[in-house]
Amino acid sequence: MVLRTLCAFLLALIIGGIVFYVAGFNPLQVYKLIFQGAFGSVDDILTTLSYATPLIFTGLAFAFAQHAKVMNLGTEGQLYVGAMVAALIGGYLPALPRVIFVPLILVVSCLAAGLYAGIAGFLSNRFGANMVIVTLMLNYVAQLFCSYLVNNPLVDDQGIARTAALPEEARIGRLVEGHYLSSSILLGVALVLVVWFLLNRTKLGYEMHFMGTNRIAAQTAGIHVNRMMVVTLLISGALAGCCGATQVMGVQYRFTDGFSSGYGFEGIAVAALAGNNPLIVLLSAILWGGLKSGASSVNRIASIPMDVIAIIQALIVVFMVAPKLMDTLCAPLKKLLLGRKKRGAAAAE
Amino acid sequence: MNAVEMRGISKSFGNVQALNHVDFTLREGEIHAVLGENGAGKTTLMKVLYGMHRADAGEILIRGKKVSFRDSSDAIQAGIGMVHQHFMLVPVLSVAENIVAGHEPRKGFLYDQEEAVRRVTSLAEQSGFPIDARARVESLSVGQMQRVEILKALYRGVEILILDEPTAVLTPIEVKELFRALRVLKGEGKSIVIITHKLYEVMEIADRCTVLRDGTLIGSVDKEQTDMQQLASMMVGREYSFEGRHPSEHIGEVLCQVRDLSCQRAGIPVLQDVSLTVHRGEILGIAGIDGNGQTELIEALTGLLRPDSMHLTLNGKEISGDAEDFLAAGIGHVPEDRTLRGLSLARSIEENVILGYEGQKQFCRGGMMNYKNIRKNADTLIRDFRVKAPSAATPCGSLSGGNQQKVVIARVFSQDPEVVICAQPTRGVDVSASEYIHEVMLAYRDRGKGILLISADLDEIKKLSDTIAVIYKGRIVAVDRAEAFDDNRLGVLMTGAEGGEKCS
Amino acid sequence: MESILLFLISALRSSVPVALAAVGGNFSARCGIMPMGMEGFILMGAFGATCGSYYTNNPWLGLLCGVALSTLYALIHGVLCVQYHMDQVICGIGLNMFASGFTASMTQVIWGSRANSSSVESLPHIVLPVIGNVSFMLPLAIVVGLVGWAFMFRTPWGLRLRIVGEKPLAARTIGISIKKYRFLGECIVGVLCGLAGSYLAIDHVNRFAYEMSAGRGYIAVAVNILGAYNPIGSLFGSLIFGAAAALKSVFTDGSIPAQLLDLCPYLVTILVVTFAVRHVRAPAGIADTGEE
Repeated sequence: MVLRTLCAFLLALIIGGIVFYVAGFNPLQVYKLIFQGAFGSVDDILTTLSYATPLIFTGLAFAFAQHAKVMNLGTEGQLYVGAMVAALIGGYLPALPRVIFVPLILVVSCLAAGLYAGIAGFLSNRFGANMVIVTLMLNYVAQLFCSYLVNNPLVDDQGIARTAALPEEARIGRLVEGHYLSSSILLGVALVLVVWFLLNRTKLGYEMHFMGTNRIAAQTAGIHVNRMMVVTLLISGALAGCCGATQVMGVQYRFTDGFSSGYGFEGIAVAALAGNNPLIVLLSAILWGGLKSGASSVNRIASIPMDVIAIIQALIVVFMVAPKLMDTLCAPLKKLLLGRKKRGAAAAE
Repeated sequence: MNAVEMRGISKSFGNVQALNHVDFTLREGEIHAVLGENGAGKTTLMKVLYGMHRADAGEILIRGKKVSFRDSSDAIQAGIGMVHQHFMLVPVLSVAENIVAGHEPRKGFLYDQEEAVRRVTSLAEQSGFPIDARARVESLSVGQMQRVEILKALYRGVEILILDEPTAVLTPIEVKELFRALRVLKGEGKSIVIITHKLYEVMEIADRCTVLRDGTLIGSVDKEQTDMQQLASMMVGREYSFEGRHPSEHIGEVLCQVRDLSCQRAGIPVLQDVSLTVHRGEILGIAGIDGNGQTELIEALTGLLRPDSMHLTLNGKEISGDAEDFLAAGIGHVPEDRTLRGLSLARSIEENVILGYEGQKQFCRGGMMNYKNIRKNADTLIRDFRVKAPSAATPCGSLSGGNQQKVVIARVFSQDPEVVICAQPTRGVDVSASEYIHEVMLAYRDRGKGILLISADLDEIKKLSDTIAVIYKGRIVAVDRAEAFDDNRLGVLMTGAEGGEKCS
Repeated sequence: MESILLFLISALRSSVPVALAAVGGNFSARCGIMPMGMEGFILMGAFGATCGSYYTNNPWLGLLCGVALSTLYALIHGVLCVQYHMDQVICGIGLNMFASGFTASMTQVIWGSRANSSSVESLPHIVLPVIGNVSFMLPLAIVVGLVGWAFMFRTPWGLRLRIVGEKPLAARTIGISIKKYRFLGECIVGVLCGLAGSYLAIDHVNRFAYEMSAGRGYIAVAVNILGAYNPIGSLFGSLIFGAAAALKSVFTDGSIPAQLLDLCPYLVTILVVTFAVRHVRAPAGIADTGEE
């Protein structure tokens, strides 16, 4: 499994490297620069973490639902809902003291995002709608509707498509002096633990796993699979909503049109690389965050296409769910490793 | 000349050796039975012959010529046809389309529907299997589907026909018809293999018989020179006693009563006014051909299906709701199909063995699972129910069929429900495990509990039941003490030949 | 009257790419592969067509490139799903993500911006009575739908394709190659999505734009369901989406904000997959590898 993951990652980097090469850059040089840009100094690491923060939430959201075999491809739309609700409450309602206001906004916006995800579950349960299509379409609906809101009723005095700025009381502060990394990463870490606990230590997790591995057996044992699916989506959607809300409350301090760089879909790659294990999601998110922040710092020097990162992510998604393919591809590597070990053992004798 | 000669065939799947140097000879124009318990390798051997599996070692000769099949189309070319146990038919297509697919009559580039219907109809009449070539396969009865499968093979001009457990799904009358047809085919010079585990079928239809056990060849014998006793001991590997029944010594008061159970599916009644009573210390067996409402009966009695009407009482208390409520009320459920409904193969034994009971205080408090108790519980049950497994954390998927079924049995019986709905408890389970499961059921009954046994295996019903109810087309057509039925009466009732008896 | 005609013509135009993709999707679904990758196939088709037209200055060669790239991409999907038994849905989603990243980075490499290519030669239009100036792909889509229907329901190969999609194991037992027919299905969906993509890039407009498929691949899946997996049904189904998209051409005065109009096709899709699925039976062999 570990070998397969490594192999998949390596292979994705190689194919990404080919694109870099075609684009006229030396892939090794680029990767070196990306790595330096991501982890080269304390400041760079903090930047990487701030890139990783939204990915922790969306990665968790996708990974969580996968355990019940619910494919929540609607995280992008859900995070828009979370962000918009957070921006609306924070920006337009009278502010309360921070200790109440921040948690309140978080809870309400996550709830809204969860309910938005629940729509897909409801339509799928009640009418047999195809979940994949519905969640994907809900992404477009949420994005376009939010875009409508900030372009029309909420457009600001200067004609810029964004909501009013959040007051101090509604903002999540910075983690360290002198860097814009938001403290919401702490919330992300906490949620990683919460999700792990939910999946591995509670009745909910137990039942989700049965539903995910044999839905009919779960039903036979009296587990209400339809209800469970909606609950799964509610929680998954709330996690995605957290992503949007914390971006608004901790980074941008307002909702800006098109603020997400596809965090929802990147979350799929985060979860895939982590094998849907919530603890590893944290590492995986930091790794992807590093790639993104490194690439953007390189981008400042040379016009390297940032979207290669998206290619690498897509490849990970593909490779991680194709064990048969990876075994074929890994076979020579495995032989090499084992052969070396054997030779090493022989030499030791 | 031999129609088929297979020499030294070996085949393994992963770590399981399914066939170990098996020889098999089919003579021209004979009916040859391949006999063995579940998992003995009968089907695998025939799938090797049919080109669906490739043997790891060994060679195959067809009419003296060595062959090597890449896939089934090569086998078809060589004149071999196979009727699979699970029919290989497409339900949404017509009979004619199913039969001609792969060798369609054409009119230019187009598929000639009319010609296909004509050819199939005339072929069907010739072979004595009249059938409506335009009907959709999903509208046919199981017996008719089997005819379609045989016609499919005949359409391809096969000389060698393999039938995998052809009688498992048929009514006694349909079995007779099938055997008559097979004799006709034999008369035309075709060579026929039938895979079976039923001894009397061998005696009735076969000329010769090859017995397999655990993937090895035990021997091939002429029917004339053997008897049921010898075949049985070859098949099971020890002296086999056709054991008798174990009637209950004390049948007590009414435990569980079902009245007026009716249910429709897609507008067609599948259960009509079913009433049943299970007493303490009684096993009530439901006899019937598969597909006469048994599945719906099981689902209704376990809360999985909400029937149009039903009154179910357990110890005089009315029970309603969904599966969760039925389990909690004390109705245990051994599902028909363990891999479909019974277990999650990806999850561990310890988790599977509490499935449906995970909310109990010892396993779960305030939504938190207590994995220490769950492990303890699993360790106890693995010992008590003789599950062969490395540890409680082993995923169920790596257990054998018999041990998987023991996990299901352990789960249900350890919870001490009042009554157990026991569906096909030993389907696809090896002999020793199935004997053990029968012991568990009988012991449970002797403790004054009740069991409703639904099984397609008539021998199992006869062996275990104290009372037998016969189901036909969703109605209970007879209920009586088990001794009051003989094979003849059961056969008549199960096929509805006499419109049923009056129920008392 | 004039505006109604305008609306209808606009609806026809907007439904062309969806119709082409949906007919392709029918073949994919009918041979047992959930066509979740059509979004990416279309995007690749659009990108390929733009590149071809840009480098050769010949839109017809561009069309050829678009179809070729899309088909190649569909075959990759085929290799992953058929050969390596990958989950068809995740594979499709992964390839869609890849196509999005790939086309964006290549657009930046070739034209210096990830958002847009420069303008290229586009396909000439034909003139039809009543409708007027339209792409040749409008009549082509109708022909493809009709021929597709005839192939699927009136030829031996169509029958075999459907058997593979309904019950692959049954196909195997009568010597019909699952792989052959599944790759045939992937080829057809690839070619048709390539046409759809080319239509978007070098017919409808004359440049490639980031994510220009805009969900049409997924909408085509919904059209499949709506049309009961029947090519002719898909032609009619795609009209509904064409109409939803054409609303934009009616309300040009800004009385209804553009974002809300853009939203319509997606809402219609949700409604369709919610309420139209009840009586439609999907091919039973989707995602079934035909192994035991």
